[in-house]
Amino acid sequence: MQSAPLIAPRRRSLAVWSALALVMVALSYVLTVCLALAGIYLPWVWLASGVNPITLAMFVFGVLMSATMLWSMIPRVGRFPKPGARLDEKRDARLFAEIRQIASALSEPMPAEVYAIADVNAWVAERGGFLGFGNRRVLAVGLPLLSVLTIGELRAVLAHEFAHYYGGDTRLGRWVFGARDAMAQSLMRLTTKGALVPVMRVLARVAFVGVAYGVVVMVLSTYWKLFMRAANLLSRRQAYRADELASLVAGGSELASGLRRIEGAAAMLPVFLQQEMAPAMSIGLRPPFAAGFLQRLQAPQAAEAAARRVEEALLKPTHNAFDTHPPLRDRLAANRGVSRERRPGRGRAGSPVVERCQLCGEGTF
Amino acid sequence: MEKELFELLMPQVPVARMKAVTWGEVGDRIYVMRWVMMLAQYRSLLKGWKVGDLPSVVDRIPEMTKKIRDPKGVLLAREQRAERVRDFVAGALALALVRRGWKLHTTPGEMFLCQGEARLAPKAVVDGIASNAQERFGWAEKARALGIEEIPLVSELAASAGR
Repeated sequence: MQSAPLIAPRRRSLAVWSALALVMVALSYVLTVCLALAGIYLPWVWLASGVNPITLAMFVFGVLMSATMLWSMIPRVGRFPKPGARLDEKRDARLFAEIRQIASALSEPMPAEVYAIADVNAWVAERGGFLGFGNRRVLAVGLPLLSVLTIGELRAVLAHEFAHYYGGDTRLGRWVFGARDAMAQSLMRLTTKGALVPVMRVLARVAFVGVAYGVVVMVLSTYWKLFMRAANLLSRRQAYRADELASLVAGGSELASGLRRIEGAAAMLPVFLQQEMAPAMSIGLRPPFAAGFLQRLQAPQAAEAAARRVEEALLKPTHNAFDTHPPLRDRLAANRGVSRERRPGRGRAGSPVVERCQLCGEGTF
Repeated sequence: MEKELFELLMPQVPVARMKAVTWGEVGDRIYVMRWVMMLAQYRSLLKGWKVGDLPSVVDRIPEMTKKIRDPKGVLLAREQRAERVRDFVAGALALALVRRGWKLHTTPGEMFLCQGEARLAPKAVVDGIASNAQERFGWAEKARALGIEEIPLVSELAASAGR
């Protein structure tokens, strides 16, 4: 593994997309505030022209709607529910050594917390804090992921995740997710789960109020969809960039084989949970999860099914505008353009099965 | 680690009280229990049939699907019901062999029975007979060679368990 810091080529297009995302974030708050102010001001003007049941209903509705939207916008102190079991550097020394090497290759600080999750996935985030201050870096790595990847593939996946730190994606992500959550909260509190929803629905029986209610919800939901499309487009661009950096740090072939393996394994996890883990746990037994998942993947039928899944993903990729990651085929195609030249000492460290079981301490598997 | 993870993911489940076991132990408990329960419920469907008669039993699967109930809260499609019956027939075959001393081997995603050099995967046998003419016509001979041809698919023990 190369420990010299990476000098990565810059990508201006990503900066443009990031700027666009920040504009969308700002616009989302401006739009919500404008709607909230209009929701009070316009009914107030109407009420001032003459008090009657309709203008009164409109005004009450405007106040409730505006209060709901403004309340939803208030940033909350970041509560961070634990996503999984916290890993410990002493117990899981080998995994932490790998993480440290990747962090040093990208000159990034180590995450403050590392978690094991029950998914064929890994992610990074900045959590906690308030308005972007006092955040801490979090890395989550799937136990099933650790069990199926080789060391080289795991390095590529970790490098992809650290590339998100390196590219500032997690810092930008806080603002994007904050705006997304505020809009989602507004919409939910206005339409489904808010305490004031029954009152607003009663008021909306008045025709004018009903129309105003519909317009506000339509404007918010249209912007929400637009925002999500833009945010996820940015997210896909970031994923390409993270893949590029991961290829440079850990090797393009390792990244490509890791991505293929994840595609197949991720499709098999729900089947394993439903057919193997859940029946065992339902009668009070707790067999080894990660090792069992690996066994399941190595069974001939499951291996065939996983291979079929990868083939399908390559031949007929399914994709929609709200996906956060590009389809496997496009990621592999983009990865082909990146230098695959291996750096000294970056090859596979040995037998995958032995290596993957040694990554974490005895307590892990 | 895994215990901690499941405790966190399923706070309502008493994970700490669960017994840590190997996958081999799980297979014995789960599969055998599932087969016994299925046979207890539907023994009449297989009563009188022997292991050597499997092709005839497989022929009756479309008829048997009408008599198998859907799991609680689920409405199965026709193909799902047929799959459930194939599972049931494979389970009956496996249980019949286990009771004759065949050893059950299970790992996630794989289950087969062994006796000496012989090895048999019950679900693969039933699926093979249903879809492959060669396996269908070769089954009686294979069963005879393994000495399992005359074993009843529903043993007296299973029959009495369902009464």
